[in-house]
This record gives sequence, structure tokens and C-alpha cells, in this order.
Amino acid sequence: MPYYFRKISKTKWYTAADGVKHSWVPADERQGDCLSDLRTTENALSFWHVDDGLLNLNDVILANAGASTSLQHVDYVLFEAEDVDAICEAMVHSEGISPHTRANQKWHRDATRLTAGQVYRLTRDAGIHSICRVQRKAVRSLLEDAVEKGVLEAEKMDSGLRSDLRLDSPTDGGASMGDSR
Amino acid sequence: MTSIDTAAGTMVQSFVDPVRRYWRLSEAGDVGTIESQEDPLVSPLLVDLPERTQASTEVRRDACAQTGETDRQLDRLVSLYYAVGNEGIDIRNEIERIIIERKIDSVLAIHSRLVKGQIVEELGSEILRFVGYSADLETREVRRWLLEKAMSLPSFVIRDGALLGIEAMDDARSAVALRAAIQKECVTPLRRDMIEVLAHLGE
Repeated sequence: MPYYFRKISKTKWYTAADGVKHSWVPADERQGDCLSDLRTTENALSFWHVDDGLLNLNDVILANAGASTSLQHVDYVLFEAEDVDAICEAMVHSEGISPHTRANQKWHRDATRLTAGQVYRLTRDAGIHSICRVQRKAVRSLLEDAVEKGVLEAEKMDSGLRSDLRLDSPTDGGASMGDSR
Repeated sequence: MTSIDTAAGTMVQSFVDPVRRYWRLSEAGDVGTIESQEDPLVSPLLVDLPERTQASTEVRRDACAQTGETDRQLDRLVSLYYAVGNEGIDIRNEIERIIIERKIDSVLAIHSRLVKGQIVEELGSEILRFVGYSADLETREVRRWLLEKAMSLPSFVIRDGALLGIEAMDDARSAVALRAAIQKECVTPLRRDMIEVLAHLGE
């Protein structure tokens, strides 16, 4: 079964089953804050298609990490594609915006013409395969490796991320922001 | 400046810092805890405290003014956050600037506000993450102390931010605090993340 990947803030998706004790959140509901991870633009929501063997998951993580403005962890949810397709109905293939050209062309999707009810149903009814985090250190390794192999186009990365990865030459100003490593 | 002025300036500076630090920690109700546990990270900060009783009015006023400026900068950040949300401001840049300008006082001020619940969880979590990202070497130890202390705060969102900060600092000395936090953590996925960070700490 394939999945849809969406970048999130993991703590907003914790439930009572995870050990979170919010007296006001029923056991079968999520915290309201998780809706902020499903904010639509022009009534559309961006997803990345992940195949059932998860073979392209690393590429999708790379596309998302590479599109960030700084080096940071990646929290994500993998929805069951079948459920999302049933809820969203108008899922279209569209080109993603990231330094990973192949991922942009092959795996990016937009759920379009969404209603507020459909967005809510994603949090309530869509099956979730997993909610995961890739730690910052692992993201750094993935990005460095991908840039070296030419999978990611460094020139398409944000200057903040390039600076954190020390991809700019010292004559270009080097690391402008602090970084503990 | 004469040599006497310089010496006096140095003396005042070395004296003001412990006073300020003590105020911050006592504000947060943390002095008793730290002293009773003889926290190795913080006890050096408290070494000069007996001298505080000799602080002149002028020195106290100076400490107060410096503390006030740090609070004003943090207030500005909090106001901005409420006004435009976390995507409207560069929290990382703001925190880095405050740390570089206000040094240890900024870290103690953040700690104080977190303990008293004066920063909304999401912003507090982001601040802690960026405290870990900071490149300021002068405050490295006290930043690590803050992140480790924050691992025992009641909010899991705050604890998660502290964990991200600890992961970014990547200091093997945080392993002790992390192990203790893992023992107490009741949110299963957060506990798993802590275990993962611990496994790779200082590699």
C-alpha cells in the first residue's frame, strides 16, 4: 500500500495513546494544533507520494530537508494513500519545489479543491502508517551525501541551509549564522 | 580610563554577573534545588554569591538595568510571535542576537520564563532548539545547563524543544541528564526520540 508524506511538527500529533494527558482531548481525537500542519494554500495541500516498499522515502525526506531554510530535523507523517485519496478526491500530480529535481517531477502531489471538513477528516479518518523524526545530525549526513552525489542541486538551496552545511566558499561569506557544529 | 577605573570596572563586572545570575535563579525558584543538588554545571555560577551582600546600591542598580534590557528583548520577541506567528519572524536569528548581546543573562532569563510558564509552549520549544543551535562559545556551558534543566519541565512540547537543542549541541556530557529524562518520560514517542539522541550523542 502506498503512502502520502507530509512534513509536520511531531508533538502536535501526539495522542492519549502516546501518553499525552490532555484532559480535554478525547482518546479518538488529536490536538487542534495538528491542523496547523495541514494549512491549505488556495484550498490545496501538498503531499509527496511514497511507494509501498518505502523505496523512495529517503528521496522525499531529502526533497523536504533540502527545501528548508536551515539545517534542521524533519518530522513527518505517512498517511495511507488509499484513505487520503478517498477523502481528498481531487489529488493531482504537480511539480514540487525543492532542490531535488527528480523527486519534484515524480512524487509531488497536490490535494486540490479542499473543504475545511476534508482537512479535518484527514486528521480523524485517514490511516497513519507512521509519524517519524529524522534527527538533525542524520539530515546533515543525508544532505551532504546527496549534494556530493549530485542528487540535490546546492544552488537551489536556501542560503541559510547552504551556510549551515558550509557549502558556500569562504570568499562568499561562509557561515553567516551560528551553528553548534 | 585610569588603571584604577579599569580595575574598578573589572571588579564591578565580575561582581554584577553573580548578582544577576542569583536573581534570575531565585526568581525561577531554582536556587534551593541547585544548591541542594550541588549541580556541577551551575555551582560555579554561584561561587561569588556570598559577596552579594556587599553589593553597593550602584552595582545593584546596574545589575537591575542589565536584567531589564534582556527582559525587554525577550518581551519584544514574544510580542512579535503573538503578532505574526512563528513563520513571520526569524526566531533563530533573534535568539542568536539576544544570546550574543546579553550572554548568560539571556539564558537565565529564558530559564526563568520557562519555569514560570511565561512563554507559550510552541515558542518556548523553538527558543530551546535555537539555544542549542547557537554558536556562542562563551555561553555554551550555561546553554547546555538550560537545555538539560528544561528536560524536566512539565510540558512535553518544551521537553521536545530541549531535546532538539541537546541533539544540536551534541555534547556527550548531556548523556547523564538525558538518561535521567528517559527514565521519567511518559510520552512514548518522545522517549523514543530521547533514546535515539542518546545513542548518537557526541559521535
